[in-house]
Amino acid sequence: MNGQDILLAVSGLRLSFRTPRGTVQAVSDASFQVRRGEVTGIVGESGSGKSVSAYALLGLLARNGTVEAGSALFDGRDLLSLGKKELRKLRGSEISMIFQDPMTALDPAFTIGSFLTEVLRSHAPTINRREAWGRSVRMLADMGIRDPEDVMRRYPDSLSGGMCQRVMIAAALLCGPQLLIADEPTTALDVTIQEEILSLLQRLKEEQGMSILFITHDFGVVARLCDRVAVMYGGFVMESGSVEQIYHSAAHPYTQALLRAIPRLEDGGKELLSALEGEPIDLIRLPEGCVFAPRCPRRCEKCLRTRPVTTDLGDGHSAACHRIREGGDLHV
Amino acid sequence: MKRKSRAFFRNPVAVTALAILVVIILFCILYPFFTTIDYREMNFEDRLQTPSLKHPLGTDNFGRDLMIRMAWGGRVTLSVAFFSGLIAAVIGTVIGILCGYAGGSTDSVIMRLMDVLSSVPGLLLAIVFEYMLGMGRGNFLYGIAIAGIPPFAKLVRAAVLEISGSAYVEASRALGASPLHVIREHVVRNALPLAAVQATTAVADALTTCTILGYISISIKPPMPEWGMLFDNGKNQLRILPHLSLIPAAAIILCIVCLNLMGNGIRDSLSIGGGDA
Amino acid sequence: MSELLRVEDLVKSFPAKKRGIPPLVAVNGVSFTVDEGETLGLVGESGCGKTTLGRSVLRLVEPDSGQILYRGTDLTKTRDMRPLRKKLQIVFQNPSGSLDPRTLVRDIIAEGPRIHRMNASKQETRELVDRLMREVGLSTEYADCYPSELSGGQQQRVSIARALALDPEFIVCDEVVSALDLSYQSQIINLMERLQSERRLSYLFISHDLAVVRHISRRIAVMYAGRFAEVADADELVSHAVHPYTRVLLRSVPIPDPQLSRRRAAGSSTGSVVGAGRVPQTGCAFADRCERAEAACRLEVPPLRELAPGHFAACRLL
Repeated sequence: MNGQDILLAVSGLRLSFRTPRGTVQAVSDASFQVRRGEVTGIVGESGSGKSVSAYALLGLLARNGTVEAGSALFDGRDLLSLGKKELRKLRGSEISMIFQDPMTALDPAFTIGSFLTEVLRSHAPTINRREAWGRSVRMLADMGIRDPEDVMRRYPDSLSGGMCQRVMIAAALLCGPQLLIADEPTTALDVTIQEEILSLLQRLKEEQGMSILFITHDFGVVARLCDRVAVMYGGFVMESGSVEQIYHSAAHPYTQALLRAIPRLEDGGKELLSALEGEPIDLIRLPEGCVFAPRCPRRCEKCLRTRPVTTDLGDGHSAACHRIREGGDLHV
Repeated sequence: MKRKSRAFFRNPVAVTALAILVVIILFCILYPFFTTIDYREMNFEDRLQTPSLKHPLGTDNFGRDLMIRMAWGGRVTLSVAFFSGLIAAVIGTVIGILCGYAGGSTDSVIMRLMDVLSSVPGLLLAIVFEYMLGMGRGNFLYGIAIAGIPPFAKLVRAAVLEISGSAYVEASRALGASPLHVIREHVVRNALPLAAVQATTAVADALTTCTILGYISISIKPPMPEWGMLFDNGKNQLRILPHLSLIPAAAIILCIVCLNLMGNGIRDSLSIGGGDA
Repeated sequence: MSELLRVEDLVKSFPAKKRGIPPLVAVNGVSFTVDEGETLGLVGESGCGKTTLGRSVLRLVEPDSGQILYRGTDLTKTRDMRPLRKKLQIVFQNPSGSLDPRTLVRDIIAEGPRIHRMNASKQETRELVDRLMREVGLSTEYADCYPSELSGGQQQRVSIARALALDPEFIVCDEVVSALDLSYQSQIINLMERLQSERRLSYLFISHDLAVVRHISRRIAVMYAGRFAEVADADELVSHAVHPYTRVLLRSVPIPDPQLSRRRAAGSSTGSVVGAGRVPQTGCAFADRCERAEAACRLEVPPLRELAPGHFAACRLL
């Protein structure tokens, strides 16, 4: 871990959206890193800011969104300060992104073949059609598709969700990016297909040293694939560390509560599930203190008044919580 | 529903448009009570006068006061526009709900009929009704109304189909609701807003048609004025007294613009979720 | 416990939109029973027919053939389902979609009683709504709000209150927590369990999430391509599943423990995928994806057989 290259370092990210109801502070303070050849997961529920953090990196925020602060160092450059042209060159060639619903991400009017060759040729205009076709076919085969030539001739509506996602991943990898950003790529898929896609991504990581920023709401998926995790809530990173640290020594009450709330197959299943009380926060009117405090079982006066600072717990593990600094128990 | 109107009234553009329309309507209704001049009265000594204290908008080539004629003309034009819009809305909505619910061959036949009807220009239908039912008595109103039915029918039918397929209607049926209950409780309140927006469009279109009709002299029998007719009457004096044409034209355009802005306002106030949310 | 609902050989198909294509048989001869106060879990992936099955049982979608016996009455032969709708209810998956966006929460919950004219006065209806809201853990201050002003979890509580308003005995829970965030899933599941014991409700709990189903159900039926692949007690299914599809399903359920998760992944194989497959017309529907499939599997549809007391599976190889 110490000698490994940091490919992407996001620090102090802060972004908001203007809406008729007010300004939504989608992300107040987010910092995370992706190391070469590793998978970093960003885990959170809806409204945690996990997806928009990723979109901000590639300049894909909606028109009413603004990046207010922060830096995102990728290969020496700050992504957040790049212009539109430079970002466009970057997308697909150095950093690629795959999205949640593969079926709608593919244009139904084009065959898979035209789509893939188009992707290649938009980044390398000198490449001729035959070579583009060949490379696309090989990539589809690498994705585990049995009849790539046949799939190239098909239209998206004749393919299943899992198949479409493999095509999207193929498209994302065609130009050999260094970093793959995956925004909930398996959420819309059946669980057995999800397992296949996760296997595929794991193979990419192990065999090709692919670096991945993986956004999800599912802790099981994180455990399967990720090396490092950042847990987000209400626009803040609550806790981050290696996947073992998060699962076995979770320090933040939110992380602990989430892990307890997951129904597990092994459970005898007759007791009540451990549930988090309360309702989601309003991102337009953020509370003064810790955003999780209203729902936190271990909150105190200080938690309600001041925002906690991120505490370094050693070995790359950190959490933003007042109760830890005071020497409170790490485990509940 | 109350929340929706609150959202509408927070929209300055829409509220202004509504206010202007209300002012115009009030003018048309009330002004004749505040003046002694008759709209038919011809004073040849006073003909072709520019606006003055006695004749606030001047006089036409027959010496008739334009202001009072605008008021009466507005009564005719706006009544035609609103009534034709209302008739089109009611009949179109009923047809839309019927087709959306009935489906099958009933739906297909009626929708094909709507397609045929929508290919006939409203103007033509208006003229036909004038000839059929007697000219000069405002019968063109029915032509305009009938021409306005297809867009309503199609819109409402589409809304009904979408609403009937929604999960909350399915939930209602699961509770044991009869089709009538579903229509009354769910279809109407979810389809009505769309119909309301279409209504503003229908009235605006009717105004345009009236103008054209007036311009080709197939309108109300003189001496009763009508804005389209006034616009036509004044065209011969365009070089010397342009306001005789321009004032009626401006009134028509202003009403159309206000209706469209109101329509936008209604549409916007509906798309913001459930009002305040 | 006495039997509340018995379904026999239910079939439901949808005609294809284009000519020449055979109809899609969503539910292909399914039978099961649900006892009073029991939860039967129904698990399967998209397209397996579980949602259609749930709706067919309530005749929200008309089954093609089969019997649905509710306390002895055959629902398929009932002319007017309306009085029975009080006893057999459903809660839907999408909380926001299943609530009329232009109706107040109060009126949504009161819709059932109003349809059946159950309460004489406005005051009684008001009290009923307040009672129900408290029962599902929703503050009565939300009664005069529109659904869009509530969170997903709160909307789902409204849905549940609406179903409870008619005092049902049997509720089809169609993916009721799938659209909710994790922290609200457990809240709703706990609520449903509490309601079940307080009101002696029976559930047909439909979900694609095996962990959730395992938690709440006494017995689980695994569905694939319109048929039951395996049916067993929850504990038995999770620990001793026999059908190849069930085993694949169990292997795919995400385990929130990194070591266990990776150990399991390393042990399984990842095959290539075939192009967008259509379910084969003859033989076992799972044959194309099955590791152990043989030629004979594609000839005949395997029947659902009882392999051990209460444990059924449909596979030739067992």
